[in-house]
This record gives sequence, C-alpha cells and structure tokens, in this order.
Amino acid sequence: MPTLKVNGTEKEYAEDEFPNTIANLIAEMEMDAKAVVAEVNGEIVTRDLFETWYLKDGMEVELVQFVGGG
Amino acid sequence: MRVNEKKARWFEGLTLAVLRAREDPKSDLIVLNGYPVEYEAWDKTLVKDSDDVVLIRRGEIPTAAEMRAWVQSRHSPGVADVLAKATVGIAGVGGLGSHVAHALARTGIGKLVLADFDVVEPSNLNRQMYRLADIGIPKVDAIAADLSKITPLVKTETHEVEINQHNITGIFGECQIVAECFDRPEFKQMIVETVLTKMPGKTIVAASGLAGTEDSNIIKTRKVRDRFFLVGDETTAAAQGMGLMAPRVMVAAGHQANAIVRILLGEME
Repeated sequence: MPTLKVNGTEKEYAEDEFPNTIANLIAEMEMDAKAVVAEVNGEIVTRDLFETWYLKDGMEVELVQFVGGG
Repeated sequence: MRVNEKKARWFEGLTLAVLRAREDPKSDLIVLNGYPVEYEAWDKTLVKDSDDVVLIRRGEIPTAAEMRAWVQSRHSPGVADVLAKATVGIAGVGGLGSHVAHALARTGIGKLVLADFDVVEPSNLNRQMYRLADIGIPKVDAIAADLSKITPLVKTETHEVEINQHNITGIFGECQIVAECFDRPEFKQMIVETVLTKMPGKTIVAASGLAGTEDSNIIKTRKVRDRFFLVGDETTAAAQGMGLMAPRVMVAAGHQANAIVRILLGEME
C-alpha cells in the first residue's frame, strides 16, 4: 500500500485513494490551498504547481496552513 | 562604582554633590541605585564603591552616541554591535508589525524596512501601536515618526505600497530577515513562499493563530524548516466572534521580535 509522511505522520492509502497531487492532498486534509505553504522531500513547491505536482509513494510532505489575523 | 553606566573613580567620603560636580555639573536629577535622590540630600549622601549612579539633565535628549552607550550597557556584551549592523524587514505594520517594529527599535537594531499600503483607521487602535493623532496617516509614516521619538539609533526605510510577489524581492532585498506581519492568510502564504523560493539566504519569521483571548501559552515559536520560523497557535483565526486584541497580538509580536533577535545572534539554528 502506498504511503505518504504528512506533517510527520505516516499515512497509508489504498491504491485508488492515493492523493496524486498536492492539491488533492490539501483537499483531503480540509485545508485552504491559497493559504498553504507546501514542502515535498525538503523542497518548497509553490502554490501555482499544486495541481500539477505529482506525489509518489513514500514522499515526505509538510503543509503549513496559515490562518488570518495580524 | 558606575556613573551613567560607565566605570567612574571612587574615593572614601565621596558625596553625590561632589560626584555630580565632577561628572556633570549641568545634571539636575540624580538616580542612585534606581531611586531618585532629593536635591536637599545630595550633600550628605555618601556614595559606595558598589553604587550605580545616573546623572540626568531633564528634558535633554541624548545624542545617538550616548543612546548607543545606554543600550549597550543594558545588553550582554557584543549583542548591541550585532544588532546595530542588522537590517530587518517588516511586511505589514498593523497589529503584529507595529509592535515588532517598536520592540526591535528598542533593541538598537540598525535598520528597519517598513512596508504597508494602509492608513491608520480608528478600528486599528484596539491593538496597533498608533495614537488618535495618527488617524488618516499612512501607517509606515506614523510608525517611522514614532520610532524616531524613541531612539535615534534605528534607521527606517518606508514603502507605502501593497506588497505582491513581484515587489517583495526589491523591497526587502537588503534585509537579512523579514517579519511576516500581514492579516490575511493568502498574503502570509505569498510572502513566505516568495522568500523561501526567490530570496536565497533570507529568513522569514511568520505568524499564524493569534486571535481572540485564548491562552497566551499556546502561542509558540517553531522552526518549520531552514530559513522559516512560525509563531502562533496555528489555529485561532480572526473571524466574527474571534476578534484580534492587543494582549494576544502583542504576545505573538513579542515572539516574532525575539525570534529575530535570536536568529541575528546565532542562537536559533
């Protein structure tokens, strides 16, 4: 079964439920894509690439979701 | 003994009156170990070798050199020199940014680059470091004027402009560190992403989750990755029924300012 490590937690997926893109993973996490900074395997992936950046089995993802207020 | 934070010559029988005549005859207020001494007592108050005396000329503003000596005397050795050479950017001078700017200015930081497109509005005064007389004035101008009244040591560069992903690199190009002090989450996202991908060597200290009256102690500073620090509880968003209030905003701003000082001093690897 494919896995992702998301914000330090190991996640296991059924083959047909693997979130293929960062955008899909953000949706699954119920985050707001326009307020998320994403890092995959140590590299920042910019927001304009969320839809087209493909995740693969075993990748490590960090998602930081900002909330409003300042 | 020390006079105005500098070592001074002491002898048995030295009185405050004699000390004042020797060190600064124009001073009109004497503070001995933190307490003002009344004029009538200057003649009969003996000074000990362990005493700390401050001679003040009331109403006189210290020069930059004198101010630097005061700041240095209150910091650990070497700290003031590091901070005096630093340039820090503040993206947004609202609730967070206005307080970050004040805190950093008081540390003796060399230069602050302040950017915000907004003017001061009455609704800002519940949490932002502005005054009634500032209403209607561009925030960057109001804060630069205020900082100049606090210390002659900090240089300010102001940008009255809405920040976007194209002008960030130009505005903050000479800063070692940028404080993200925006209100809206998509602006926070934009500047963090831009600094991390387009500004190699620069560090961003962002904030997320500081609304309301939740516990102060759940506001944390964490290192997310190289060059990216995040302050806040990461949960409490500003919303209807979850307003932004001065105390908690100031807690977060204090975290940001302290993180910046620690990064500059190499204490936060």
